[in-house]
Amino acid sequence: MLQDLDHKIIEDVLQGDGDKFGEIIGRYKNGVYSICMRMVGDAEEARDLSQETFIKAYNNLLKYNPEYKFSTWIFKIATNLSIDYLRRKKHQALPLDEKLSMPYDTASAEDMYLHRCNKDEIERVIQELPPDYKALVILYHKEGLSYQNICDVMKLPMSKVKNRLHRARSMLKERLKEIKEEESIWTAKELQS
Amino acid sequence: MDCKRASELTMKYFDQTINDFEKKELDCHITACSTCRLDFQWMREALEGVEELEDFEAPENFEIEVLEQLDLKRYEPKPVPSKIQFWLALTVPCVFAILSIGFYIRFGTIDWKDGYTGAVSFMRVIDLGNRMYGLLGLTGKALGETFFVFIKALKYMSAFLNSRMGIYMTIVAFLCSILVFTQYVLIKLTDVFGYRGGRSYEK
Repeated sequence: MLQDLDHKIIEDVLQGDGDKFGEIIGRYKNGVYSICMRMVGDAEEARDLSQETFIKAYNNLLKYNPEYKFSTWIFKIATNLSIDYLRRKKHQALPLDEKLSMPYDTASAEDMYLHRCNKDEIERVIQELPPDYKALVILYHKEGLSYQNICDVMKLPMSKVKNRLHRARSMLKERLKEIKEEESIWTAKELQS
Repeated sequence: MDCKRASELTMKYFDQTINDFEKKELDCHITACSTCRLDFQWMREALEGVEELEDFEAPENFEIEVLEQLDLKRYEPKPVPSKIQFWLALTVPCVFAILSIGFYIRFGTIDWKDGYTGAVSFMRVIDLGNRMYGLLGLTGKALGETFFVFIKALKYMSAFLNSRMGIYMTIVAFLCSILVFTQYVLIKLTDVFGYRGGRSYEK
């Protein structure tokens, strides 16, 4: 249904109604921005990259193959631009914001606190993954793309995608485990003192 | 089942490609093996955590900023030239071509000595115009080519002078010119002041 609507809008744009592309932007801006943000970890860069994603998509709209979902195509552009950016800049992604580097300061209710801490830790762990692995984790587990779609997006063979994703999952798990263990040691020390 | 197999099945579980039999197999193993059980739980916590992450909100005015950078008329259909324009564009050069051929056959091939009619005078003026035009063209072409050769020569010269051999040659040429200049000055001195330098010279 959503896909049909996307295709309808794209047809209108290709027939000369350029303003309708605004609807596509409205529909995918948060998704694209989130991918860029999680990939590069910097709000300004993510903003530039997501704008570049939409501009590139618009300029190459004739190359879009309607057999695939539009979301897959635009996420592909966002991911590739982000990976290119990270490779170009050899940018070591920073924590998403100040809160993430100090995740234990403001929560009041225990549930909220634990939930947010967990989210922040996950964000931190994702940031620490290498760019290719990060893209796989985001596309598969966050954006819900299939293996086949990821192969199309990353232009990689299926075996490589599977191996990398499995490795990325293991890294994610190990890092999360380490962080939690560090935290529990820290909490124990705090309680003792 | 060993732990390696359990690890493979864990991945299949999170790929959602695990079948019932494999699921039971995995279940049995992680019930018995605490290491794999913990690994499985950590993995689930990590991946569920990723799945539950919320989207970031795109910045304010994001759409407007993007739309401002797009050429919104990019896909507008380009105006097709009307049929009248097409036929006019085709007919006018054809008419002129036919007229030119006609004029040439009628007047361009006659013996000019027959007499000067108005048409012949007109053709002569046109002919003169053509010759002048040709001359101008040839002059322009010759000047252009000379300029081009000059620029090219400068380019080669600069490339040569920048090369190691070019530098050596420049030094040699400079030393030679000093030598020639000194010789010239000495000869002049001999000529003008009769300086003989120990030998006799005719003034």
